[in-house]
Amino acid sequence: MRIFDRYIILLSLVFMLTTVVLSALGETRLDLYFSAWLVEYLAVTFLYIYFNPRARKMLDTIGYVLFAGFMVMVAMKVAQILFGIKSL
Amino acid sequence: MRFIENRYTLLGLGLALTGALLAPLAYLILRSTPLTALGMSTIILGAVCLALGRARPKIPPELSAILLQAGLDNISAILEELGLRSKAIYLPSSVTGGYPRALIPMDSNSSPLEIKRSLPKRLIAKYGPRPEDIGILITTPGSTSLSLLESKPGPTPEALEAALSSILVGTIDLADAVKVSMSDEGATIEVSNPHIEYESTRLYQLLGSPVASIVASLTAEALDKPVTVDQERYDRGKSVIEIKVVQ
Repeated sequence: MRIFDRYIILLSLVFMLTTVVLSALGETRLDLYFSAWLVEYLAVTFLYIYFNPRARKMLDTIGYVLFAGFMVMVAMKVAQILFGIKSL
Repeated sequence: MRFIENRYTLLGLGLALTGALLAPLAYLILRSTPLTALGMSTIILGAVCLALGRARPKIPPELSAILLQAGLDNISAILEELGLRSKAIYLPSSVTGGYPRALIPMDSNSSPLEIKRSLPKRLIAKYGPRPEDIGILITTPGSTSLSLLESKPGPTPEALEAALSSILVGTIDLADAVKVSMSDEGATIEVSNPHIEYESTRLYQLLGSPVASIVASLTAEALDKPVTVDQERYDRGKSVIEIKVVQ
């Protein structure tokens, strides 16, 4: 499926670029990396609106899982601020 | 194992396992944030590939090509046997009942189309009041493509373009992009980089190529009017299909 191939290649390139740029800037916060990937994943997946319904459903599920991970990170950050608990 | 037969699943497993090994190793032992980030992103990409592997059509492309060719050969044999010369008229489902089908009039000099009621679901159908208003009603590749859509396309260029893109680009991977423009007489559809070659056969001249057939069926359904493939030309990787509404 050519559209699948193009999607995977674009997503890989975007992720790689983000990782390289953030690493070059000396960024050590993994939650920042993850937040950037989440936004990029949602944006790229949104661009590919012509996937078949089954593919869209599977990719939406991954989006929900990534967003749940993001919420966990936010909760940990809040806990760190409120209670001084060390996070990532 | 059937589970890892397709390449996306295989790639996904490889990426996910690599990332799952690299990320904790890089974080706990190497204390390297870039490598940890690399491992985590690899896990995400692996999950995406696994998801796409499960969403891939179950019928292999080679089998689809065989089935398509067999169907087209059967239609071609019928057209040759009956000596039909008229261009196919793509009828919307409101006329044919069920899904859009193509009507090929037996008489190439037949009078303008006058369909006043739903046509019977038969191969040979009488579509008008005159004795010569007889034609064959066939199911084309475009006829069954409507079932791939969640809803009937609207009569606007944007709605038709979205429907055609969803089928030709997203679902059956037959082209790279679709562009639609409409006029009172019909529509012009540009299909970028179609993955099926046009053949100069009588079947293609009467019915249009499989791409044109899908385009015509969906246009008929969107406009809820009979249409015909007026012209189909190829120019620099683009197929330009002119659809004309049958008055």
